[in-house]
Amino acid sequence: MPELILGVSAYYHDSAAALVSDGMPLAAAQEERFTRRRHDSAFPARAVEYCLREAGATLRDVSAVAYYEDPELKFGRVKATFGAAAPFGFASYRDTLPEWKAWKGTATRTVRDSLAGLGLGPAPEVVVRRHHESHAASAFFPSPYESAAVLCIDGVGEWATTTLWHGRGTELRPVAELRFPHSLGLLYSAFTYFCGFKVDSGEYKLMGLAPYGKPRYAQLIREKLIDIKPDGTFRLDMRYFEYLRGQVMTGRGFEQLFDGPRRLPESPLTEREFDLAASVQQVTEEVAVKLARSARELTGESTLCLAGGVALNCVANGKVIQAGVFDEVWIQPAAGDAGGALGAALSVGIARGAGRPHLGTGRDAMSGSLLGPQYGDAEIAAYLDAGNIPYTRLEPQELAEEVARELGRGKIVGWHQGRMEFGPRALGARSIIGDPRDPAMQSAMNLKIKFRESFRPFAPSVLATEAKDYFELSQESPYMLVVTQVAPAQLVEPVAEGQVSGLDLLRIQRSTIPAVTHVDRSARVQTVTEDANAPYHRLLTAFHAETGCPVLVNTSFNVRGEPIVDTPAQAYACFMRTDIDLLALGNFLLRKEGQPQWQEQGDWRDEIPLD
Amino acid sequence: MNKLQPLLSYLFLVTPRGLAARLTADPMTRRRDRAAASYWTMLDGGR
Repeated sequence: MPELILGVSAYYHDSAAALVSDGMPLAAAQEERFTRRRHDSAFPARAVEYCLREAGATLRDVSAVAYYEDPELKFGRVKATFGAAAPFGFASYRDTLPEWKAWKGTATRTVRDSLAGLGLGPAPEVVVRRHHESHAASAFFPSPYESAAVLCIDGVGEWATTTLWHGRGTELRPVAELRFPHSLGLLYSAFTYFCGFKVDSGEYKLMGLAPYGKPRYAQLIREKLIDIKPDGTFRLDMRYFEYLRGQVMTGRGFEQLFDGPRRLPESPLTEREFDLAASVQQVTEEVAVKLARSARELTGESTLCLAGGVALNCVANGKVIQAGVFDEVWIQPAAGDAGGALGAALSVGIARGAGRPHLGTGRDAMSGSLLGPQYGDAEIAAYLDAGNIPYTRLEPQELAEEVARELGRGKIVGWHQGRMEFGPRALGARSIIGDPRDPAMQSAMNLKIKFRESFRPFAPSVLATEAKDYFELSQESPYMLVVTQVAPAQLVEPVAEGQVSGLDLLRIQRSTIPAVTHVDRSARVQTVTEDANAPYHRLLTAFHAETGCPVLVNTSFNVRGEPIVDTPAQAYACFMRTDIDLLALGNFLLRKEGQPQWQEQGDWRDEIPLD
Repeated sequence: MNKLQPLLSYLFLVTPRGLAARLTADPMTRRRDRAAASYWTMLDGGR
C-alpha cells in the first residue's frame, strides 16, 4: 500500500479529517456531517473512521498524522492576548485558560490520544503544520498549476492572519505575512456580529445581504477602523474592537460609529444592516484586490491560489478575478479550516517525498471535491425496503430525463448522488434542485424548503459549455466560489426598480433566470463538467434538452441550521420534513405523494439550532 | 483559595506583564503607522 498521511483539523470550528496518498486526496470529510452538529469542533473521530474505511486502511497503514496548526504557538498568542487586553480581559482569561492549560495547548497529544482511543490500531506520529501553511498547502498542492502565488486570508490561526506564499512544483515558500490582531477575517466577523449573525457561521449571510444596501459606511470604516496601504496590507485600530478581551467582537466604539447598538439576532433587518454589509463588503473587496496585486508583484507569477476563510467570500473572489491581475485563479473548495486537514496532510506527504501526479492532466487534484462517503444502490435499496418506502428504480439516463421533466414542471428535487462534497458548498452530490426560470422559486425554496431568511440568494449550476451565454465568466468556477454578473443577454428590463429598496428588491424580476439572480444582477456560479460530476452533468444536460435552459438552482441539501445531509436516511428525513417534491437517491426516484405518513417524536425544528 | 487563584494570577502576573509589554512597543497594541509604505512582514520566500 502506498504511504498514507492522515490530516486532522479540530478544536476551533469545522473539524475535519483527510487522507492523502502520493499527493492525491483519497477521502476528506467534515465531522459535522456525521455528528449532525453544525461546525462541530470536536475531535473528528467519525471523519477519521470514514477516511480510513474509504481506503480500506487502519491506523497501522498510516505513516503520519498531520495536525493543521501549531497548538503551542497558538497558546502563546492566546497568552499574549490576555496580556494585551489586561486589565480588562479577566472574564475571558478565567473562562478559557483552564482548557488551554489542560489540553488545547498540547492538542497534538490530545489528537494522538483520541486516535489511539478509536481502536483502529496504534496512533502514528503526529506532525504539526502551521495554520496558514496548511491553508497554503491546501490551495497550491491540489491546484492545476506548476507554479503560482498563494494568498491565504482568514481570521487567525497562531499569529498570521494573512500570508503570501510562492509555490513552485513541490516547494511552497512563505513570502510575507500580516499578524494578529490585524485581520481581515476578524474585521468581517466583527460586522457579522454587529449585524446580529453568528461569528464563524453567519459571514456568508452578511455577504448575501450586501447587495441590498449602499456602502455609505465604507469611508468611515477606512477612516476609523482599518488603515489600508496601496499594496492591500492593513492595520486595524483596536480601540474599536473587543475581541482581544475575549467575549464579544464589538462594543461601544462600534455603536458610536454605526448609529446605535448591534442588531439582536433574529430581529428585523433594517437599512442600517444592509448598508453596513455593503460597506464592509466593499472594503473587503478593495483589500483582496490590492493584496492580489501585491501577490503578483512579489512573486512574479501569473496564476493565483486562494484559501483561508475569507476565500469563501465569493463576491471578493469574483472581484479579484475581474481585476485581471492574474491570468487565472484557483480556489480551494474547502477554503476554511476544514481544508486545513487536507493541506496539512498534503504538506507532510510532500515533505516525505510525495509528488503532484495530477500536474499535466490539466485538472486539479480535488476530484470535483467529491471526497466524502457514497452509498451504493444495494445499500439504498436495503434502506428503502426496510422502511417500506415506495420508489421507482431507473437507469441513470432515465433518472436524469425524468427528474429534468419534473423540474421543468416546477417541482423541487432532492438530489443525492455519489460521494458527498468536501467543503461548505453543495456541488450536485447533496443538493436541492429547482428551475431557475421560475420567479417564485427563490421565495418558495427559502421559506418552504430551507426555512431560512427570505433575503438569502440561491446559486446556479450551469453546464460549463454554456456558461458564457448566461454569466460573465472569464474562467471556470467548479466549486461555486466565484460571484459574477448575469450575462446581458439574459437580463430583462426590471419594472419599477427605482421605487423600492431593501428586501422589496427581491420581488423584481431582472433576468430570464430570476431564482438565481441576486438583486445586483449577480450570481454565485458553479460550472459543471462531466469529468467533475457525471450524474449532475447528465441532469443538467437533460434539463437543457427539456427546457432549453442549461442552468439549475442548486442549494445545499439541508434545512437552516442543519449540516448538509450525508446518508440516504438523512436525505429522506429532510425530504419528508419539507416541501421537496421528489427525491433522487442514487438510481431510485421517490415521489412525495406516494410516501407513507412521516412521523417522528417531537418537532424536529426544536432540535436544530438556528445558524 | 482555588476560586481566587485565577483572579490573583491575572492581577499580579498577566496584568503587569501585559502593561510592561505594551510600554515596550508590543506590536499587538502599537498605534497604526500611517507613514509606512506597507505593513507586510517580509519572510524569506520571495523571488
